[in-house]
Amino acid sequence: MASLPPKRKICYYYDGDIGNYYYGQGHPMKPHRIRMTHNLILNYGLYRKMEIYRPHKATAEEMTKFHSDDYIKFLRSIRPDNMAEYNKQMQRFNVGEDCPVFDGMYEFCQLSTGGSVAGAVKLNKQAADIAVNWAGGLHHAKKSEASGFCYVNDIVLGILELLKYHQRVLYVDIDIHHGDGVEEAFYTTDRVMTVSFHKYGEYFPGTGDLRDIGAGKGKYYAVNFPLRDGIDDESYESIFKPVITRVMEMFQPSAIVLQCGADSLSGDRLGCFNLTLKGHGRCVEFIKKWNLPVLLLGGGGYTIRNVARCWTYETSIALNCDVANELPYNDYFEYYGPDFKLHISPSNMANQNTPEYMDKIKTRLFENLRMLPHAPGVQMQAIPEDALNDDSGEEDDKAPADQRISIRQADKRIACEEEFSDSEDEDGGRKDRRDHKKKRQKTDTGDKKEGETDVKKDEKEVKKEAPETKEEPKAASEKDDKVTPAGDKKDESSPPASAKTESNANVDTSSKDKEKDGETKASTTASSTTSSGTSVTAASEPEKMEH
Amino acid sequence: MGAIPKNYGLAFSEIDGVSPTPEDGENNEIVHKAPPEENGVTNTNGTSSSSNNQNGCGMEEIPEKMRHQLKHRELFLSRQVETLPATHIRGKCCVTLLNETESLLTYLNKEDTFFYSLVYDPQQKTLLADKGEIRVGSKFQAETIPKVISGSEDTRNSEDLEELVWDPSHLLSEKEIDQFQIIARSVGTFARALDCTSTVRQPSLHMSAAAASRDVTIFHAMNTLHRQKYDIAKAIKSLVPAGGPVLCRDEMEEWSASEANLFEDAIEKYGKDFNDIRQDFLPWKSLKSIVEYYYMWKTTDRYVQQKRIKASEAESKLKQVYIPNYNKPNPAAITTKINGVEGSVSGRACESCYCAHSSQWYSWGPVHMQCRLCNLCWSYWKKYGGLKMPTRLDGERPPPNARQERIAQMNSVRLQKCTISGCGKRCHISSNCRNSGDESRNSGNDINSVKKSGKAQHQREHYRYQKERGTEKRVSVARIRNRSGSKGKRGDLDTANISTKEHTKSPSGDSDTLNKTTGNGSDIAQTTCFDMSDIKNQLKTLMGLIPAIMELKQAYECQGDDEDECSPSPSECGDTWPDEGNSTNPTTKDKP
Repeated sequence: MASLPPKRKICYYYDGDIGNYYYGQGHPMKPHRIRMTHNLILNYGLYRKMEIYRPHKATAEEMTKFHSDDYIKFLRSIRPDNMAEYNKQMQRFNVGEDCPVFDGMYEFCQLSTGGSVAGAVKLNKQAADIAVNWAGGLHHAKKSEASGFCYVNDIVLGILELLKYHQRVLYVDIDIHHGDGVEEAFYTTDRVMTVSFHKYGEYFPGTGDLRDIGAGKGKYYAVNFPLRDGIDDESYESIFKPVITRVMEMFQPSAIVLQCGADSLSGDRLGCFNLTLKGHGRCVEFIKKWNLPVLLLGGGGYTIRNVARCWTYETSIALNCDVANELPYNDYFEYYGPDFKLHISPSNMANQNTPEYMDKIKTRLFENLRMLPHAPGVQMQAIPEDALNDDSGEEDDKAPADQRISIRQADKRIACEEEFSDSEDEDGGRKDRRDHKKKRQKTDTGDKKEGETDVKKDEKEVKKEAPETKEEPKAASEKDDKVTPAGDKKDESSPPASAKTESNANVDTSSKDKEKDGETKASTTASSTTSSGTSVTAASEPEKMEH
Repeated sequence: MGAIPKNYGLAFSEIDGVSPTPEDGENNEIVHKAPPEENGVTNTNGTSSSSNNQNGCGMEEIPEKMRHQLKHRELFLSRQVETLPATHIRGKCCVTLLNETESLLTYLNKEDTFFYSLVYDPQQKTLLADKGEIRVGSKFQAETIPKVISGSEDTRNSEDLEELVWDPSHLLSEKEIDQFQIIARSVGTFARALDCTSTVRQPSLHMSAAAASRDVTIFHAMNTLHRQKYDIAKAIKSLVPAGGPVLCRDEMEEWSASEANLFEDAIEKYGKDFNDIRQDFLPWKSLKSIVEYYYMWKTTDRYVQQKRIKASEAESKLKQVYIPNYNKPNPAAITTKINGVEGSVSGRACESCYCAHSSQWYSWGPVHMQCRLCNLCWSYWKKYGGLKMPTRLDGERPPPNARQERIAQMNSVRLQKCTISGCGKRCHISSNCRNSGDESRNSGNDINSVKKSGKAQHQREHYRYQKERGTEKRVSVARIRNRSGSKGKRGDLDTANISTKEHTKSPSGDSDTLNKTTGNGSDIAQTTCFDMSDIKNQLKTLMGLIPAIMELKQAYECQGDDEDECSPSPSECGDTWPDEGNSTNPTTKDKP
């Protein structure tokens, strides 16, 4: 497992100054945790395995791509020594309490944002598969307002950057707090889906209700999973995987931004969940398995030794590289006492999220996701299903005989859960995926929803295969772009695309013979052009359906 | 269209769904559920998702008993913070925000679980669902969402965005990198031997070597390798330039012993206010270097020892949070041992369950009525502040017909103006409040006052222990997880802060907008029909008894884990009829 040949290329952003910004006495947000992470990464030998960048300081101009001019101007000019002059504005921009004015505050924002934006550009240039910026992930910042220790929303800015090259970007947030800043920024667009798993109920920031699903064009593009205290690894996985899988099927993003707030870990100073690094890291692993470009960001996390542990571990996951449980010596070794181990154990707190509760929420979210415009309706029937069905059938048949697919390909495939379970030898390998599917179907059918369920099921199967190949190829997507300009353009103009699925499915067929690269190209061209023809109708109809 | 009004609409319907007088409200939730059997409700999985279904046709579907008991499971959170003696803690329970997908009946199945959906804010004098909003408008959303550029490459210059400091695509082996790191450390050790100031600080070779092994040296080694294009030979040369071997020192090493002492004094004096420390103690240092030093200083033996001492002190303090068994005689217990015959004195059946036998009886209700409760019902009452079955004392057990009529009445009001339901309910509360204020003492007819005290009692159990603050026997009870304005539980440090801070954002925000957005009627109903002072009255006992999901100190938890054991057993609670109960009730005592 650890020796899968084509490693994904990781770019990591860090500025040596970041650890020296200090929010103030008694403030739980400690940028120092990022330095602790960095030093662990160095001493674990992960540093040498990835491209390390020092990010630029984001300019005001970059920040105002999202934020309002006067807000950024204010952030730029306010300092601890001139605060008195800004009383009114401080109130207006919510700076002062949770978000204090501290020395170098603006620079701190610049660095955090600089890393996320540079990472996004890196992904856009296809110069990296995963870009990591632990100094980013400040998901509460609003357009004209600081909030929850966040001033500038590096995530929104990163996503805006990604949107230049990606029709649809998925944002996933596993911080214990709701990712309200990002959700709000993209609340009315269908090009970004925000998915947040968070504690809800008498908890900051108070948003993130199950019923908040987006507005206008963005309706159904905000997904909120409200949770209660004490959720553990197992429960978290049991909701994260199916929800994300469904989201991937329905939304089919071409890039993912994952906010890895570490305050969802057990023992966090502000948190009340009960995750360990393993459960938290599993989310990263799962996101990674889809083989899409990923922007991996930090976020909350207030028990800093565990934050450093967590993000180090997650860096190792991104690198696909095992790390010892024994922590290596480093400048901050003493912080990790008394055990000096990487992994942490959960506490004995009660998990207030009962299986029934989580199931019901999950079911409801699935119902919402089904409302997405390209959700398999009758239209999908128009697609040359034979080909697709054949294809998927084949896929399924082949699945167990992994050997038939070259390792390189296998790695490129996006067989998400499958691969995941492969790596997790514990849960019965390949079967996992099937089981999973069945389970989902059960909920589907269990949820009433007329007779179309059957149809849907089928289509889901089809879809299922599609995303797997979907991102397929850094290499191929490029090719794809060039090869199928027509199809792509259509795709862009239409909402989440069945078109894309289509052409991708075709790429899939072709990619199977990928080793014989030469001929493939030709066939790709052929198949994708045809598909683009069909897909136009398929894609445009659901749009109507929406209204 | 507008998502927000809609949300609030839902929020209000949720309020309706679980309002304090649930006989109609709860039905909304429950309408769609098959009538559960007795206590073992199993068929709650038919999710009725639409909580705002307002028709009360399913009224009869829920047994009266359950409806009655459900009332005992709703709590109201309060923004008030209060401090209570640890000795008032009887156990713990689970309080969760009611989710629309949930069936209320699931709460009946589990012991010591409660739900809430409304939050009382003593400053705003509101009782509202606590819900933030995602705002919609050009002021809030990202406006210029870029079009997808296809085909063309991103032409931006990477150098403007980032600076490469390490590239893994070099040809060096792991071992070579390791070796180079050792070389860098060796050079550093030697450099320290040559350096005068260093020899003072690190008198032994060991210490020099240790100092040269700090991360700053390794980072420098890696940077050197990168700068020399991963050519080890060149990199080694650059470690020993003309001026002498390279010496990399971090703040830890840079600081002199006297500076370190100054810093410790300063920390002692100012805590971690580094600005003040810098100004008054170390003006020649930059703030950054002080912060860096601080975090390194935390790894020193001195700090670690200090911390250990502090930790053990705290630990021992916590051990003083000893909660004695409650063995005061329970004044409500009826001593029937006069003739050695149990329970035969008054001979009356249990007021709640009508059972005739119990190992212990408790007098309950106004004295002249001579009502009593059996063991089980007593402990139920203590926990939930009500009787398992509606009693004739509470006036809530009218003859079946009358009751139906009343419900029908409520419903008709509802149907005419859906938002009025809230009003009806609120009036109901407030009338109860009034009673509880003056009459209940004697008449005891108001079950709500009973309920209230019971709840207060119960809510004492919610108090979370604050490990840090649990000094002596007094435990500060804070709203541990508050939302509104502040995210951090920084407020943890002082509870008073929280409550004030909380409102820094909300006053003009949450509730106001709430009122505005809900517009047509519901809010008006709320504000007009709410007699706030009454509500305040009613909530008196609930104040401060906040959400607080407890994390009792571990030792405490051991016994607390099984909630049954912690539930107030009759013998534990010296309790009396409400008014008296209230006087011993911490909430009244500490009320602002």
